[in-house]
Amino acid sequence: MRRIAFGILSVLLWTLAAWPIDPARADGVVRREILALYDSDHESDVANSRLHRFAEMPLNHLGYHLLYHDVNEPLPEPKSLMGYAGVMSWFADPLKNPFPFLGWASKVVRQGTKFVILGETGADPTGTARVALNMFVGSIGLGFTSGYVSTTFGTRVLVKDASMIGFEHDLDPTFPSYPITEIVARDVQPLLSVQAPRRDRDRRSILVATSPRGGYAAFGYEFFPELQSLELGQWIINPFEFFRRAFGSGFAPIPDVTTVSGRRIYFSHVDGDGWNNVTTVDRELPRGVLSAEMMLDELIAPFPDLPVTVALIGGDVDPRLGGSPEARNIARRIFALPQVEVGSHTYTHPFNWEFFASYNRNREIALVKENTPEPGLANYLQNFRAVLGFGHRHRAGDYVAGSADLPRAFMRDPFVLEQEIAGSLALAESLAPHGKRTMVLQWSGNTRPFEDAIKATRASGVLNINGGDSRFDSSYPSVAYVPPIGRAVGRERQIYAVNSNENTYTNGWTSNFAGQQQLSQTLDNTELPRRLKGMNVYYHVYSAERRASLDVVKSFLMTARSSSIAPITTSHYAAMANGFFSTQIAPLEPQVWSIANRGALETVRFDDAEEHTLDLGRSHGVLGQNRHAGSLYVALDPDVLDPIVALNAGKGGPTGGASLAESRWRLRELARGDCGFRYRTHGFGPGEFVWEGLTPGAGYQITAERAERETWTAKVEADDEGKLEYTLPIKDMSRFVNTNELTTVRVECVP
Amino acid sequence: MRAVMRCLPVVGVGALVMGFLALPGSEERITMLLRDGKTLEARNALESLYRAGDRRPQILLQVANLDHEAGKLTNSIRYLEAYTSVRPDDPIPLQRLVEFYRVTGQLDQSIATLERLFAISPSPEIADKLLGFYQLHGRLDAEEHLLRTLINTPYLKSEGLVRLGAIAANKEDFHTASTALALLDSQADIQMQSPRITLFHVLIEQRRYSEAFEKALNWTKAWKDRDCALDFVLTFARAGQGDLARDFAKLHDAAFRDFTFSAVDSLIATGFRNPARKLLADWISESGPKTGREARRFVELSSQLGDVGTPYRAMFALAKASGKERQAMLVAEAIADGHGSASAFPFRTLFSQRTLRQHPLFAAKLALADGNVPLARQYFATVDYSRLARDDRHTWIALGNKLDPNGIYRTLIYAWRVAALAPEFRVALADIASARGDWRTHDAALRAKSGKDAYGSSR
Repeated sequence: MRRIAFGILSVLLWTLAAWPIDPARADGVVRREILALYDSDHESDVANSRLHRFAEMPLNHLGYHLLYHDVNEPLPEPKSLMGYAGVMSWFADPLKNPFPFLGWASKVVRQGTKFVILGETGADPTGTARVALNMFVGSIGLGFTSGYVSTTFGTRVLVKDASMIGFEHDLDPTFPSYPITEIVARDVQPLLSVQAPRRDRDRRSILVATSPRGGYAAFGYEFFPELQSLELGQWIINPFEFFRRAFGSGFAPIPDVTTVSGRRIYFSHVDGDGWNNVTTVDRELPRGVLSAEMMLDELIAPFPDLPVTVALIGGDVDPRLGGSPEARNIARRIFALPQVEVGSHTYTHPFNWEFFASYNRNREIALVKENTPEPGLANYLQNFRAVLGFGHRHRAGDYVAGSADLPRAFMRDPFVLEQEIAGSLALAESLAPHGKRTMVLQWSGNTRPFEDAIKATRASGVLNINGGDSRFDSSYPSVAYVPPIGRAVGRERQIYAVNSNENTYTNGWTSNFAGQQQLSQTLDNTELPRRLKGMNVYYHVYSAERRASLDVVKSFLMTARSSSIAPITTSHYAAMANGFFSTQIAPLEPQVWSIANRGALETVRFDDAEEHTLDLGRSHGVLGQNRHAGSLYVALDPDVLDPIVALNAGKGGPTGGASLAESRWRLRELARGDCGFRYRTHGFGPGEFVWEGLTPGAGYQITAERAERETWTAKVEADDEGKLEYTLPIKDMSRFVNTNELTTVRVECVP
Repeated sequence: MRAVMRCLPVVGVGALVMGFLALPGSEERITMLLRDGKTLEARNALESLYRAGDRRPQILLQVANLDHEAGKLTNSIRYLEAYTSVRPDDPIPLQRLVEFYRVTGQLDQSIATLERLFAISPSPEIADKLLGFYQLHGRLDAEEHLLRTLINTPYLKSEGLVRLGAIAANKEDFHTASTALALLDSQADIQMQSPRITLFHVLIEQRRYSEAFEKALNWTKAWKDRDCALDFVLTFARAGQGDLARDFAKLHDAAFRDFTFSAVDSLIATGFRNPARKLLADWISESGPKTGREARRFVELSSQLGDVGTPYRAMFALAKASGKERQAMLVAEAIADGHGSASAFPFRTLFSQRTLRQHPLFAAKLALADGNVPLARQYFATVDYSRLARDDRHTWIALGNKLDPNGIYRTLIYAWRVAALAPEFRVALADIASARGDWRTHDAALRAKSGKDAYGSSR
């Protein structure tokens, strides 16, 4: 009894205690890290955890990144979390031994670190851990009673915040079972509360709430679970709004990887699978045209304005593994095109990366034998010919290619990580024009590389991408199936592709070969009502094997061509994505922030920013601003190491000079003068530029120079609102030819 | 020659007729185009036939397939729909239409087509999928309607019955809810608890108490779930069915230790004092205490009910009843523990010397309360401490400290040396040793690992 009284007293004391005013900015840095706790007893690894699958993307969108920790491992010292934005858990069941966790969590909240609980708290509130549980959740402002409503009919909704509940799926009218949870602090904001049925004494329960110390959403009331028949779930709470409130996200810049130069990014990448498959697109062609060649002719060469990264599988061109001179020639022709970035899709195409984390050649051979059909007459004849000295005997080790049922595609030689990564990069590079480097490794198979594999890409100086399989369409009607930016693997990071490829749209390339046309729905849904992802046309070479799939890819290329996009390379996207994680933001004074360690990141975003505008006079290293769906996108100059972003109150355009509204090309080294400005630029396709903040109606002379030679000049007038639009009619592919050959553009006012 | 000449026109006409007949028909021509990979021409030829009013199923299916292969799903949908109006009972095109509508973002049509498919080719899988879509997209009326339609058909799985039961119960349509859940009860694995508990509460809402009682009894036998049985007891009480609550509790007393006490406790806590009182009265008259702990619980609960006199009356009744003297003794001891030894002293005469000798600890306590220390020592000396129940050990130490401190010290030292000392006795030994200044024994007793634990827990 004394213990219980002590527990209640402690809870009251802590809830009455004063909390840090804004711990998110207490030490002068916008806190972006969230410790994400998962329970390996129920979720085998990070990639399978609900935190990663469903919660991380909305948190990324808000600027947070998650650092995962298995709750069954020793928990970090609470003080080490002082610099974090918070801690988060999403357990499905009570922990085996909840006491160490509850004691630790209680300390964490009491020191002022926010704690967000989705689903189960980690302890059964009706069991012996309730006192310890209440010490923890009491610090957030909630308290569990011993009550639990398992037969819920007769439950009534008392409070339902419409902005938060029913985001994609409304409350289920049958009400999942729920604990009786009470508010124990005045500053708790209930977002969903219910009244239990009469037989449960009409008790009230808080099922979703936030407080200045975190938030809570009860199991079954946060996410409509994935139905067995459909394997689809949907958010009940609005994850963006819930996390924003629970982590107390203030008004601050958010690193953004969807936008460059004020426009939605576009990139395209191709995995090399199917390189040597004979296309069926047009039977009037000479017999045996390879899909790779069809891809070159139909999807790459006709689109010099759209960059594409083509990732070769080493085994497809290695003569020892069956690669032909023709396959290599096609690779050379593709890599020679200026819009093509060279990539690798590994050497032997692992399907199952986990298998190679602890590789055993004997196990691999055994698997091959298991999957090898009994020798038939052909094998006997081959062996007989070998005895006579013609050809070779057939042995299990003679195979060269496996299927997805086996660990990798090319299994003749033992798996060697160095060959898989560095070897495949070098092989691709050897087929590219002199000086053109391989820039990116595109993960194969299940796209679950182990830590050393990712490390090997970093050691080779290339970026990595793939995995994620983003879908947000009529087949996957939830933002839950849009993945986060990447996956932490030990100390390394895998960057996910922005969109999914044709494989997921075609039932594993078995039917509905035009299925990827559904990508348009994902592109629409991730652009509005909030821009969650860029535009990524991602396919395999085998898309060029069939007319339907080929036409679908082509249709997206045509769409991209006619859209207001900023085309970039795949490696550039991956570098930007890495920059998201390293970026540090510090408030300098009200409405002014410094941005540091951003790597290749080029944009920061402000949400709910209709009432704010860029103040160029106080900013440094900023190109301009654009607005989309209520957010303000601020383009940063890549050449400025630590830009400063300053805002003013106001709805209109930026103040303080010429400001880039949008452009197809990327800009750098912007220098504003008294009457005009200059910058260096490069990009793909026509150089479209739109500027704001110029003198209304004034004339400007625009001159473009490359390699100290004038390539274009024109006189253009700003419109009545000071907007200046022009297009450089140059197909500038300088990036891959010579990076020094940027175009310099001078915009000077005409007296 | 003339005859030959005369025959020529006939032969010519014949040849022309033969030639015409030998020309490939439209379908053969399309087949040939397809064979040559001229799919676009083949498709256009098929479309011409369609435009000319040809609605033969093979034509429609062929052009739908070609459009599908070319990625023109909207066209393919049009021809498949035309096909289904010619062949409404063919499920394969409908399956494809479900997929095509979904892929093209036409969710309403996709679900409607799935409904058509289910109508002509029902299966549990399609029913599942349809119900899943209804649920996912919040079409609750359609979901409920289908669930109702499917009840008593092989197409509704357990999950469907559970769902229908829950939806109907929530709308207070208890008839449908109980029908669905009773059906589930008759089919599903007995260990499936949650929907059965819902069924129980639905039956209570319908006032079908005896049915609820029978079912609950069967379930708790299988589940062996004490909390659940307790919940059933409370539910009966809440429904004004005190007798059923009492009977249900009594029937579980053998299955779950102290179930009657738990039930009485819960009934008191939730304000149902009358059923609690009756249940406790039944217990003491029908069963009675077998241990001191049970007797103490009885006294406690009687106090909670405000029935302070009940234990006394029970003790008298037991003392008078044949063969229940020991139970009376236990109750008396419990009264002494609960209300002080003096409170039991007046009843000393109720017990024979033989009975008192059989309960020497209690007898010693009574004698001490009576102020007869020698008699108390006499009884105390006959206690075999090694046979004491855990609850009685503290009493033994407390009494020993008063009646024979040297004796219990010697006894404990001996037991410790032969490694037969229970943890709580080890702590007691340390305490007595420290009181006597025997620090060596004190430290040694506490150094033992289990002794340390015991010390911790005793504080």
